Amino acid sequence: MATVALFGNIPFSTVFAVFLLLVYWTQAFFILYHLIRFGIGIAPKILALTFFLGSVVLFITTFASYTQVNLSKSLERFNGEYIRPLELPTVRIKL
Amino acid sequence: MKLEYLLTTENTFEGKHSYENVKLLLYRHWFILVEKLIAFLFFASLPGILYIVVGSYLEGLGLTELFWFLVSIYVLVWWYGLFYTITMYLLDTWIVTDHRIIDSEQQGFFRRTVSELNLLKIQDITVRIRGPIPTFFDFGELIIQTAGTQERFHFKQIPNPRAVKDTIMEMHNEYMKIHKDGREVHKEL
Repeated sequence: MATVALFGNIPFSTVFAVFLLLVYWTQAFFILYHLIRFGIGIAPKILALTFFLGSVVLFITTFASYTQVNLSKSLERFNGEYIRPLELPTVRIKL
Repeated sequence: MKLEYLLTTENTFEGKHSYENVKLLLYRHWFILVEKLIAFLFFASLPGILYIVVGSYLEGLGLTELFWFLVSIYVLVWWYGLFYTITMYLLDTWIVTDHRIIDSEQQGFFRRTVSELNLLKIQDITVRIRGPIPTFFDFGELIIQTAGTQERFHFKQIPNPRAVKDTIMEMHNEYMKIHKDGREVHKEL
């Protein structure tokens, strides 16, 4: 019960942000690892550094824009105003 | 742990012998990478185009912050995709040393094939350039037939394949002169 209460209180936007963080940096690690471990010469190492620095800058930018937006409120607004409930056609079957 | 290959700036690779000299380090022709980079350039421009089209509409709805947040995620994914493509390009390599040929192909992160061929085992080399673009930019395939039932070595879309063929033949002849009975005469330093 306590677990349900704990996870029930975590907002969707936080779950999304943590998910993005984990997925992105896991994948980024694979690129960095491959470039450093298997790249021949200095060029792949420089590219690995460029990728890492670019990723850090872009991730900070994403996080900054994430703090500007109220994701839950925007989604609620979007749902309420622009997505109507689906109206399925009724089919009558004579038995 | 042998980590010298991380610290030196020359054409070094894991498993390189101290007496071995890298003669050629081949990647696919730059045209192969550039055509992919053009596609990435197009995808980079998409958020800007989208904002020009729906920007004022989004401002009216108060969804501008949400739009820029989604764009920042898109750019992050784009950046990752760009470097994934470059990584795969850089890890598809063919190394010709004065002792052997190493064919290293990367298909995704966890699928890597590394084949090695001693220069002694080269039987014949075929160069294949097909199509107008490879002819114009001078890139193509080089196939090495090895002795016995061994798999053929296939260099894909390499630049200047005829010059590469000549270099390999030269290396092969030099190797045969030094290693007359096929035994290694050099010692690891």
